[in-house]
Parts: sequence; structure tokens; C-alpha cells
Amino acid sequence: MTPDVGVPPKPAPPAPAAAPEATSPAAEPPSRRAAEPPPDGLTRLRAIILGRERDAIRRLEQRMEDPAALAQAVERALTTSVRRDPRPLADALFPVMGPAIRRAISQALAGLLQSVNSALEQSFSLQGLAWRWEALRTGSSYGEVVLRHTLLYRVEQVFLVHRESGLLLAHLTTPTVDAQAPDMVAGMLTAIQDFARDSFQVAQEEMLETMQVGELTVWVEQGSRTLLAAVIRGHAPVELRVELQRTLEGIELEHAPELTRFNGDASVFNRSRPRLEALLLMETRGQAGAGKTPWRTWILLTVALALLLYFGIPAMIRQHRWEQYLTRLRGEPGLVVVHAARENGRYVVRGLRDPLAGDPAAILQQHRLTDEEVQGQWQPYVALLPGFVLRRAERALAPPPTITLSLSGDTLVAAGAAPLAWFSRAGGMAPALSGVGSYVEHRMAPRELPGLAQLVAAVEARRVLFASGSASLDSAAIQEAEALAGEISRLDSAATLLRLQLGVVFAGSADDVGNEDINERLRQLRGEAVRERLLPRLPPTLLSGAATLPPDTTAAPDQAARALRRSVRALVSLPDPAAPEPVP
Amino acid sequence: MSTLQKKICMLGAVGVGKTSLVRRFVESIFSERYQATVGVKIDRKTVTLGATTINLMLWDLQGEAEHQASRLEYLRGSAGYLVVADATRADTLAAAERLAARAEELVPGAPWLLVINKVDLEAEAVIAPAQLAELQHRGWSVQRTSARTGQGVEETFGELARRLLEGHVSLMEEA
Ligand SMILES: Nc1nc2c(ncn2[C@@H]2O[C@H](COP(=O)(O)OP(=O)(O)OP(=O)(O)O)[C@@H](O)[C@H]2O)c(=O)[nH]1
Ligand SMILES: [Mg+2]
Repeated sequence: MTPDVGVPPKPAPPAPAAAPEATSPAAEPPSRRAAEPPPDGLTRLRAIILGRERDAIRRLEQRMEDPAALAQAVERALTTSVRRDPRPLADALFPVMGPAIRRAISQALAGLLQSVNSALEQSFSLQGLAWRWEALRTGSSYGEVVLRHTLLYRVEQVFLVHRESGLLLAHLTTPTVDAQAPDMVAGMLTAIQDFARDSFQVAQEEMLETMQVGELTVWVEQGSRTLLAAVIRGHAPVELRVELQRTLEGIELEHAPELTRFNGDASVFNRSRPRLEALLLMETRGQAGAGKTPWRTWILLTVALALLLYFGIPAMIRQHRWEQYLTRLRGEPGLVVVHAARENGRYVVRGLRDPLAGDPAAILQQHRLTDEEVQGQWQPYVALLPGFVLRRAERALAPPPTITLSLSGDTLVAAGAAPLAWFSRAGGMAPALSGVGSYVEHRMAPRELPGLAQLVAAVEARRVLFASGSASLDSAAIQEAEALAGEISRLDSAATLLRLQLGVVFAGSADDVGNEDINERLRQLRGEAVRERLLPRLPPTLLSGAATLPPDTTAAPDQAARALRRSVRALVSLPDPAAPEPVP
Repeated sequence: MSTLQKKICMLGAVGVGKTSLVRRFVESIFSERYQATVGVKIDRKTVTLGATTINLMLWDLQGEAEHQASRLEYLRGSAGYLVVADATRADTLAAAERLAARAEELVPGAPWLLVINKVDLEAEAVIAPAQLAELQHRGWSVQRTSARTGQGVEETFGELARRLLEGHVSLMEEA
């Protein structure tokens, strides 16, 4: 920088700026003096010797502190400096003003750019389809095709040139580019600027900003001391221009001292290479930033949300059902879940299943899942739970209803009435059943079966009584006969349930009084009378016939016992059950 | 070992052989064909002086026409220059003197040489040795060259490069 920056050629005449003071020196000192303490000899001497200078200094001080006076002086200094040579001031301000001006302009343009951009993008929708087709056809990605068509550009060379001498300060190329004599190009770049300015007679600060050479475009940015030129292949976006300016400003700021005394040694500018390299990488940055607009993002978000709602919520419900299903399976006796997971888009459950356990498919249905959604793979196994052991025994042994199977520990107990054949078969099979340690039988006569025994006793306890020598039913006898019929019906129902064939015989008896022949006859008649009486009330198959009981030859102890002998009672027959049909 | 770049300008009237001198120096070629230079043409020649390599950027300017003083913007930033005159045309020496004066204003203190070219055409020479002696007496350095034969060409550019380096070193010492 020239040494006389900001210094006015001559000291400013004090008169105009100091006008107010010029009129007051007479008035001011006395008023001051009045406020001061009475001066001693030395002070007085100082005032006499230095008085004029002291006043001058005080005036100067006041001017320095008066902003208005100072502003005038600075204004004058700046005006003089610019008139003499605007360069030094421009140089000083360039790094400061450049960014500020650019920011203001770019803000003003931002709104406009945005609307233009979105309009462009919307009009590209048809184009987009065409590109998609091209991508499909060429087998390249859609992104590649878009880049090929829109923002494909590359900064191939960057020149940093000393403006005054046209000497090359730095030169960078992308790896594949073979640059010819960059120092000569650098010179030409400045020469061309002068030539253009000369030819079109424009101001010194105007410049040739763009040159087109075949497929190449050269963008030139000019700073106060340097030129930055970028050789571009393709169509670069405006942002690159901004980036060039910014880089140039950064470099000029960093290298201000080296630039002012540059005399041919460019090695110091190696420090700026990273900044310039960043320009060579601009192609990727510019492309990556393209197409990022809010409305697109919104559409994407909306679509994502819709997809989430459409697929996500059913999936969540499915997941919930699946978990419930698994819990149920794990609690189900006879089912053992070994593996449960989501595989290839569907749930898979694998495990062991006792054939007697609940059906997983049925349980699946209860949980409102389909076998599309859940695949079950079950291996058969034998569960040793007591319930399963018992059920398996029932299946295998097929006991008649008169047999009750129970499990006590691992001992299988068969209690009740059954054909011998059944018992022998059960005795052979039972110990071989899994889960059965030993086998025990409680064989009973059918009439001893719990439940039947009382009914049998109740039937056999009834006595239909007759008058002496009579075989006809009086009213009390009829009543008793009816009651007997009721008991028999009850017993018959129970026997039927147990699949037992009930037989009933009405056996008459007589007392020991009188002729035995007559008594024999009475026994027969009495039995038939009751049978006759009850025939309509009972199934005929049941009533195998009337029977006579053999004469009771013992002497009756008293009248009551004798009266009891003039009676009919029912004798029950319950044969062993028939062999049960085999269970499928 | 350091590398320097220096800008050198070729000044002179039209057709004195500025372009021919550069071609001789850079490519060792001479052509009889005259092709006037328009604007400026830039060339590079690397010379080595001791431990220093200097890239001389040679700015070959359009020659000054008779009735129009050429613009000397291109001279800005030059480390040194050659003012060329044609030994067979007296007016070119006058033009050279004018140009030298203007150049001194634009790049004050820059080393320069006066070059009398086409000395191979002895028969047509019009510039008297006495005239040159007088210029040398003024403190000018005068070189006699022929682009055609190559006489004095290397020496001329070499001398200028040497002076540039001297200036460079003293400038460095100052700083
Ligand atoms: N015999 C001879 N001819 C020369 C010499 N140097 C240049 N010429 C011829 O002079 C003519 C002009 O030469 P240039 O080198 O083009 O001259 P210039 O100074 O570049 O001309 P402008 O660019 O128009 O200013 C050409 O025909 C050259 O062949 C020389 O040393 N000897
Ligand atoms: Mg020429």
C-alpha cells in the first residue's frame, strides 16, 4: 500500500474547524482562572513561559474530542485520498465491502430464485418420467440420469492470477485435465481484460466476466489485486459464481501483504491451495444440493406417514395378536413352543405337540390370525402330564361306563364292573402306556357299583302286601306297587346309562298258615297280579316274568312278620356288562 | 533453488522485429514472413541464473504505429522491458526514445535495454554508431541483435534477466 493513505497533502488549516474557539480565547481563560486555586510562583512562571502552547494543546484536545470537528477532518482526508488515487482506499475496503454487498444482493434475490426454482421443478415432472424411462433403458440409476441432464458441470481448472503483472499465482486442475502452459493463459487472461476494456471503453473496474470457448466456459472474478478464473465444462449454477467471489475475497484477505509486494515468487500462495481445491470439488456439492425443496420434503413426509398408517398400524395389530397367541400357546398343556420369530415377512412358530393337546390352528383362529400370517410347524410328542396320561389310557383301554379310571401318582386304577375280557386286555396294555408306572384293578359286581347299589336296595326293599288268602291288590297295595314301579324306573335309567341290561322279577310269597298247595297258588297269583298291574308302566323287556319264591318254612315269630310274608317283592338281576365296542 | 516469474514487455515501432526476437529466443526460429501483432502475444522462456530459475513471461506488444501512440496498459506489472528499434529505419529509434520515456513513467526504475535489431542488414543500416554512443552516454544500455542470425539475442534476454534478478535480490534485502 502507498504510504500516504488517508494522509491529507497539507495539514488542515485550523481556522474553519476551530471557528468557535477562534472568537473566544479572550473570554475563556479568565473564567477558567477564576475557578483555579491562587497560583504559586512556579505555576505563574509556567503560565508565562508555556501559556501559548498550553492553550494550543487545549484547543487541539477539544477538537479531538468533538465528533463533528473530527468527522470534517476525516471527510477531507478521504476525499483527498480518493481524488489522488482511489485504489488504496478501494483495496482497504474491498475485503469488507465485498461480502456485505453480496449478502444484501443475494438476500434480495433469494425470494425470486426460490419461486423460479419451484416453478422449474414442477414443470419437470413430465421430464422426470422421460428420465425414468431413460434410466430403465440404459440400466443406470435415475439419479445419474437426472444429474447427466441438469447440473452436470465440472470446474476443470482454476487460475489465481496477479492482476497487475498477469503472473500466475496458483493453478489447479482436476486430475484428468491436461492444462497447456497455464502461466501463458494467466497472462492472456489479464491481457484480455485490458483489451476488452480498451475496445469497449468501459470503466477501469468493469471486466470481462465470462468467456465461452467451445464446450468450456471461463468465469472470471476480479478482486483488487488478483483475478480468479475457473474453467468450467458444462452448465454451472450461479452459486459457483458466488463461491468464486467468496474464495477470492478470502484469498485477498489472507494474502494482503504478499499481494502488495508481489515480485514474482508465487510459492507463498500455496497456502491458498485448499481454498482453490474446494472450487474444483464444486461439481459434487452443487449437484447434491439440487432438488432439495420444502414441498418435496413435505410430500415425502406425507407419503411416509400414509405408508406408516396403511402398513404400520395393521402390522402393529398383527404383532399384538401374535404375542397374545404365543402366550396362549405357551400356557396350553401338551404344546411346547421351541421357536417363535418373524421370518421372510411372516411369523413362524415351531414346537412339539401332544396329539391330545389343543389344536394350534384352532387357537390361531381364535386369535384372529390366518395361516398366511402365521406358519406353524408342530412335531408330535408325548406329554407326561397326569391329565394326558389318563386321557391316553382312556383312549387306549376304552373302558365301559361302569369302569372309572383314575391316576394316583403313576398308578393307573381301574375300578368298576366290566367283562372279564376287558379286564384282561386292560391288565395287559395299561402298564405299557407312557406315563403309567403300575396298574391296579377294583373289580365289582354291577349291582355293587357306586350309585347303582342304593337304587337296587331301594327296589328290593319294597313289599306289596296282601290280605290273608287274597291275591288281589287293595288300595294300599296299589300304592306300594306304584312306588315300586318308580324305583324300578329309576334303577333302569341308571343301568341304561351304564349300558347294563336290567331284569326284574316280581316274586310272590305267602305265610305259613293254611294249605301249602293253596299257598303255592297264592304266591304265583300275587306275583302275577303285581306284574299285571305294573306292565303298562314299565318297558316289557325288563319284566322277564313273575316268579314264586320258595316257601319260607321257618315259623313266623309274630303276626307282623306273618303279614310281611303275604307279599310280593321285586328281585333285580344285573348281568356283567357287554364288551364295549372299540373306540375309533 | 527457487523459481521466480517475471513479466517482460517488448516495446517498439511496427515491424522492428519484436515478435521475431521472441520467436528466436523461445523457439530458435526465424521467418521472413511479416505478420503484424494485434494486441499482445504472450510467451514463456525459462532461464536459469545460478541457483534461481526464472520464468520469463514475454509480452510481445503490438508495434507503435506512425501517427498513433500505442496504449501501454500492458506494461503494468512488468519487471523489465526491451525497447526495440530497427537498424534500417531511423524513425524507429525516435519512436524507441519516446516509448522509453513513457515506459519509465509507467514502471519507474524497472530495468530495460535498448535493442537495435536487424543488424544483419549491414548495407541498409542507417543508425550511426556515434548516435548509439551518445545514447549510451546518457546511461542507456544498448544491445545489437539480429533475429535472423540469432546474434545478440540470448545475450540481450540474458542481460535483462540478470538485471531483473539483481533488482529482485536488492528488493528482498530491503524487505
Ligand atoms: N533481416 C532481418 N529481418 C528481420 C529481423 N527481425 C525481423 N525481421 C523481419 O521484419 C519483419 C517484421 O518482423 P516482426 O517480428 O513481425 O516485427 P514486429 O515488431 O513484431 O511487428 P509488429 O508486431 O507489427 O509491431 C518480418 O518480415 C521479419 O522477417 C532481423 O533481425 N533481420
Ligand atoms: Mg509483432
